[in-house]
Amino acid sequence: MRLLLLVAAALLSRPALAHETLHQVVHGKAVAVRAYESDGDPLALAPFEVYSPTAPKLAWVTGRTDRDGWLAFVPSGPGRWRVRVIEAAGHGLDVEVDAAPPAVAAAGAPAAAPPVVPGDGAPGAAYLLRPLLGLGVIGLVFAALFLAWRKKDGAPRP
Amino acid sequence: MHLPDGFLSPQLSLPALAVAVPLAAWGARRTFGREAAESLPVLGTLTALAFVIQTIMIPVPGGTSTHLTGVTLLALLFGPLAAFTCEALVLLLQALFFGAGGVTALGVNALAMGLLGPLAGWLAWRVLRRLSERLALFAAGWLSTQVATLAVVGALALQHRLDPLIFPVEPAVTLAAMLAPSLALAGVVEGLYTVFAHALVRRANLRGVEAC
Repeated sequence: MRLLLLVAAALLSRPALAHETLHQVVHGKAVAVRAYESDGDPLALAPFEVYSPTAPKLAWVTGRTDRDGWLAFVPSGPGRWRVRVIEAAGHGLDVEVDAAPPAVAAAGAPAAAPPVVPGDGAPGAAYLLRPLLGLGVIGLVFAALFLAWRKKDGAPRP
Repeated sequence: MHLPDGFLSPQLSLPALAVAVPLAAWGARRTFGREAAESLPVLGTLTALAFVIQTIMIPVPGGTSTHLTGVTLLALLFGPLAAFTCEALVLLLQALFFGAGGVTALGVNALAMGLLGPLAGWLAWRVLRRLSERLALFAAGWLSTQVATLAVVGALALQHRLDPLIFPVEPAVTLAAMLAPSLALAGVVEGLYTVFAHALVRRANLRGVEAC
């Protein structure tokens, strides 16, 4: 009888193994996106949502960016994945990220550096050039108008 | 304060654009027309200044940031319509070159920051200037910031009501997150900037400022 009880207990305990949580570490599988403002400040700890190309209405994953403004998700397939970062203060972004199928590395070969998609890097020189471009356009618009009206009005004023 | 693309549905962004575009066209006709040619150098300089000011982010505790608009000064010197037209140009360039504010949200952004805010500031200045010019200028800058912020909050709250999937943040949270830095920081600095810059422009006695 005791033996039967022991066997029964051993058999009944087996399904409990299904509750054990395992983990798997895979490098280079996730897509990382960094959200930052035009002056380089990260959108830290901001809520984000990611939508797959096949189910654009149902969030694939939600969460918060880290302190550096990074978020990451593991795409289930290639395509244009929609990433939304939504700060309560009305800041944020809504972009589509191309999740290309990962390149298969040969066994033992060193992992290739992940590709950097434009828009994922630091602001760099563009941070300085774009305001100058904007100022240039404003200057051009007003100077052109001013000169055009003066020309139409005839003699320039002293 | 610049709403990006994707935060507003076409239900809101299209009517706002339908109001803002003709208004900007009318404003451009009046502000940039031949009669206003004398004002164009000063107007252009102050528009460029507003463009620069809006790119300077003031960090706010909690991870976000705020900024001045510099548009109230334009409203006081040249009228609210001129301020709206210039701000619409600034916002268009920011959307195109910076991604600061979305192209689809341009109408809402322009109406909030370019029209409602400066108009409120201009009205406050008209009422209060009899008491004290400096107080009126400060109040104009401060109030302009609050009204612009409330207008943006209102648009986001309306969007949340229409479709929470597009803007999921509760209106009360948006209000607190946006209004706190606006009341405590951005509005005060905008008020000080308006007082300081207005005094400088007046002292410089620039040609074209009185013409409008």
